[in-house]
Amino acid sequence: MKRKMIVMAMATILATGLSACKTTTVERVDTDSVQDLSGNWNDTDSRLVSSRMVSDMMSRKWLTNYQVKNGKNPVLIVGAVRNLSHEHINTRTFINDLERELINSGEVEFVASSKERGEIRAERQDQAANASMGTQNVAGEETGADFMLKGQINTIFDAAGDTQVKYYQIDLTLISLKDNRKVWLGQKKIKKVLETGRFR
Amino acid sequence: MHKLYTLGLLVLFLSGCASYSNSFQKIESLLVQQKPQEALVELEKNPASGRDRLLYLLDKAMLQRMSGLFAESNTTFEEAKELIAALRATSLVEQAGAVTINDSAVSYEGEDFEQVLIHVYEALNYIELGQLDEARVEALQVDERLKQLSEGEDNLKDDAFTRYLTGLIYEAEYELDEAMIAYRKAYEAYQGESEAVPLLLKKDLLRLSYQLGLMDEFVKYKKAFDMDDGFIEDAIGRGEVIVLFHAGLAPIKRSTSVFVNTDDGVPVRISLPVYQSRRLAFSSARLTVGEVTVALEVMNDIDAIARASLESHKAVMVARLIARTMAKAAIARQAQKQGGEFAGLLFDVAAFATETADTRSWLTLPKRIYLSRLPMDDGKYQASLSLFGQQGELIRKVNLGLITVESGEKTFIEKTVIALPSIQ
Repeated sequence: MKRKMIVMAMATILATGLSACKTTTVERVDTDSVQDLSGNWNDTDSRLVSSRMVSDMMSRKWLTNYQVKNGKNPVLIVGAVRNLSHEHINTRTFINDLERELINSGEVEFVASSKERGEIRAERQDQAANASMGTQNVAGEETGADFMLKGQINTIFDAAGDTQVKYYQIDLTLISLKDNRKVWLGQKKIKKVLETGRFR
Repeated sequence: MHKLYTLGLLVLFLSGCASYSNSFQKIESLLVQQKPQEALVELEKNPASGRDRLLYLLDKAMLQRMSGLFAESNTTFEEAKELIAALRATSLVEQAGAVTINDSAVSYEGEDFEQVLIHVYEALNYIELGQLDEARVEALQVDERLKQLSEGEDNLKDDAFTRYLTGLIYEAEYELDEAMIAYRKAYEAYQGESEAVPLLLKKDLLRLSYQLGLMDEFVKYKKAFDMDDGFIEDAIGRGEVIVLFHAGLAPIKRSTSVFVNTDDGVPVRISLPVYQSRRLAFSSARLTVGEVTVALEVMNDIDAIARASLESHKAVMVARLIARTMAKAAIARQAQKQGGEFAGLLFDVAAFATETADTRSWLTLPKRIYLSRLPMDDGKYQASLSLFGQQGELIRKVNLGLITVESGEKTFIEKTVIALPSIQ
């Protein structure tokens, strides 16, 4: 009798142990929805900052000045966006967001970055050797950029007790490649307050 | 009789979390044979998911970097950081376990110095990957962590080596003012520790205060260190080779038992963790780059830091252990009153068996970190480390391969040697 009870008790323990295994659930969400999990820099920040800053850039004087003077849209290139913050931020997705916003604005022309150019040049060399005359793209006809967009992400972090404050400052600078003039400076700030739990 | 079985089972279950440091032998022997990849495979056979999860992640990240998997190592370190952040909130269930069973019932959160070293090794991984900006992120994070620790109740002394490394990172990023601040903090911290201020740091303080035009400070250092400053002009603008040498293994915790009599004269056993140092096969090291040879300096004595850390919370630990043992004894007396001699004895046995010291610690850390900096002209050089014994006899030469130096740039070289196996 007692033996049976022990066996049952052990079986119960085993069963509770096993039922603890969770099954994975997947829920699809809109990529525009805001989901703050850890308080770190996330996709929402990247998207919001890039769209706000680009629209600010497009509404400023330098653009119309250039268009009036030269009768064409300026050609841009995105340089480095340095991460000088407290977090490991994927600056590549931020740069991609910036490029997308810029191209889609329709006000500026865009050329490939130095890394991409290498690949394209290799393809052109290959064309010169292998493609028929009529379809070849010859070297030496690339469009040079007029401006380069550079930037950096900085943070100020402060914590006391269970409360943390994260302050992000994103600075972008548009520099004329012809004469190193800075034609536009943009700044966007994000402030987040985090409360952490005392118990788990 | 069944009661005895059940109790036996209970004891087995509770003490089943056998001392962590014992299970490390196989990995250690593979490391001694310089086979980090195999040690990593061995570790990954038993991925810990419960209370020892952090230790598993830390050892894994360390073995990954020893195997040259720097990016993977950083992914693991990031996971460890997230876990620490989650563990910072107190678990009531685990605390109850710590009060009634033993200290191993609490999830391992890492000693303060271990948490700081996560940032150090992650930064070093980024340096290996050539991502200096990301290494700088770690420098900022550890700066924040050290600030929190100095304000907290533990009052951890500043970590000298960590400050020095952040200084190196800022310097490599051409942020000389930031580097100066870090070196100043390192200087204060080394003065606070028993060890002397490394010669390297003295040179850096002199050179940077000179470069930044902080002449008052420069004069102050020159007086304090009583050094010739001819090396400064020699160093400015040239390339530099920086060698970090991780040697040996950090000390391992063992359990020792001490008998204490309670107020009513019942002898109780408390188990305390004590550190046991691991031997280092050499006593000094020199770096040779091309034709130039310099000594390496001990910049981080993890063995000593670990011991000091354990010593600093020993008093609190002993108080907690005595309280717990008394509680267990009280339960046994209660059982004796209600269930007779035998029941009381059983509970005493259970109390005795479950009382084991918490011997968990990050075991794949090195015993010491040596460092050397050497200004060099542009070019390619053969580099090697020479390891010497106590009598100054050459024990071993470790080849560092061909290294490239560019003017104004820093070339970082890392080497890990756990032990020197007799067969070369």
